[in-house]
Amino acid sequence: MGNNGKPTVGIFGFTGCAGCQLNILNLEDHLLDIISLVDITSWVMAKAENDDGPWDVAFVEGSIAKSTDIERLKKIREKSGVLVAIGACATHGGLPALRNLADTDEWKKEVYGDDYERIDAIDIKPVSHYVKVDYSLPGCPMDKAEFVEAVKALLIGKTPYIPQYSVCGECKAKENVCLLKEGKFCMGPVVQAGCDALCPTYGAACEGCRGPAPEANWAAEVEILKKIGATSEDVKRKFLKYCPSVADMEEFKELEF
Amino acid sequence: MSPPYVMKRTDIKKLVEAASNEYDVFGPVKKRSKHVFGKIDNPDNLVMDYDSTILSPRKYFQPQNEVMMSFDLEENKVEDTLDELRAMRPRLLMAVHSCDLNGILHLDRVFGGEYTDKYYFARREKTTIVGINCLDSCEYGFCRSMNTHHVVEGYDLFLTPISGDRYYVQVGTAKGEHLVHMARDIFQEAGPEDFGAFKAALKHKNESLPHEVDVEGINEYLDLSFHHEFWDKMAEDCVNCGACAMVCPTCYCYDVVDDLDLSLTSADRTRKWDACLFQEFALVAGGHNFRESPAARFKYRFYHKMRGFAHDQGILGCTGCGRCTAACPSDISIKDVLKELSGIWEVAPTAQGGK
Repeated sequence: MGNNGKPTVGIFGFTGCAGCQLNILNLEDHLLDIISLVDITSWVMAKAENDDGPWDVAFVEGSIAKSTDIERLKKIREKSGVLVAIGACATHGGLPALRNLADTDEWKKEVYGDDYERIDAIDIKPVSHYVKVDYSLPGCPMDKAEFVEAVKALLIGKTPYIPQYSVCGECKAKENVCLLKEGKFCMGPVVQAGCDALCPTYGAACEGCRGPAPEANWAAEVEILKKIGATSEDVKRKFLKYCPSVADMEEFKELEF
Repeated sequence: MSPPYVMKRTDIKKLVEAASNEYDVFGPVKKRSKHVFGKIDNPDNLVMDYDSTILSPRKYFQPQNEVMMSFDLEENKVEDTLDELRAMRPRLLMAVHSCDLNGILHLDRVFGGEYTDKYYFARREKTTIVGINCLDSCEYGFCRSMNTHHVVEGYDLFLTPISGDRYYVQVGTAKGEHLVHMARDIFQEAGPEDFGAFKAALKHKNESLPHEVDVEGINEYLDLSFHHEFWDKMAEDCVNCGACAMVCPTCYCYDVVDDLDLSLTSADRTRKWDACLFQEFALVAGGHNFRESPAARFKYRFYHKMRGFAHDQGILGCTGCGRCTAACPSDISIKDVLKELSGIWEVAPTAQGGK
């Protein structure tokens, strides 16, 4: 608790586009209410004066891309009661982690020239690879409504709720025409719901930014995509695009593409 | 009971226009390559002749999200939404197929009975339904196998397309008669020739609707198959997404959640569609899950539709509308499941004759 009796909150960014933090700033209808309930003592993106903790709750955005990030992350963890990973980068590596799929030295040379060795770049990992994450709010970007729900849940001592089923469930409830049936490579059957099927509702196939649903039947999804013409390479790219950390999961390693 | 009428099919527009003065009108409209039930603001958008809709009309009686009451802890106040619901503008639901009329009758059983669901029946009572006869089969449906290709109740008006681009109109209720009188000049009382045309339409229907699945003895097949490896094999393709349950006209499960606002003192108590395919469906306090494996959840969906529902309500819980097959991303077909199930028991000891 801060001096004013309100829980203290820190919001931190690592490697990513900062869009999740921006989404918090974009919560125009709720931001004043949130500030009346909690004391945001650290948020470099939004505040000039920031303290060094401790925090009741830390919201951590971004993936861990440099060795110096690891220490910073561990310090935040030590000083925080609850740590919430926000957005695909923090929860699953996100788009930045696509670089893991390429040869690090090669691209470093290509981008930074002869002096490339001074660039601190490690294999990108989600926050949970290094520290204990209490709750995750997935998605690229993190869903604003889900963030508000998480804030409310934490304030009253409940577990923030993330639907434990796949996007198809909520996509059907919205009565969308199934994009798979239209031949689009949609990840809806295996990706965690909670986004209210935003992309399919506008006719764009699910890209899987929220990561696999619990007990996702990936083998079935491979079959589904192949049946409508996806190659093994297409399927792999779909599975890994937003959530490269999936490649570390045993279920993924066992998959036949 | 009112005598039957006939009307020109093109006069449906006039009926909708006349009804719009009193009702919010809903009916099948085009959505990309499919149809859905939607609001009819322009009668030109109403599609009377359609294959199926993505969701069944269930959404008009048990919406996906429904606020049941609001409460405020500071003011110690509770307000339910029933009065608001009972004051809603009457609704007219157009062009409901026989399978879906039967689906609504299924829901009436579920939400009625000993513990009547007032929210459901508030919407139900506010709704006038115009059914329509399917004379030809649709892509995924198997209504004839489930005996839902005809209706004896559940409609206010029921239209059968007959020769001469007309509808033969049966009146089921006083609500239906009221609707007729809103546009009385488009309806003519049916005469002997019209009865002939009606009979010819029914004959065509009888010849065209296939009987594809034999559900005779399904209860015995299911009792015999409970531990059969068949279920694990069928569940291999299931992604447990719940799409089948969302589109099903007889699914009714819901979850109740409190949507708290940021004051942390007031909330809307909301019920939302749930599905037995979801991991948390049978998860209880303390962490025990009665349907732990995805395959078990797949299996229980069939056992409830085809066994449990019959046990509770005396009829099978499937109308053969085929929506679950149409919606399944893995193309799991309920017809195939039923066929394979009966195939497991080549000589099934059924009470119906031991086929």
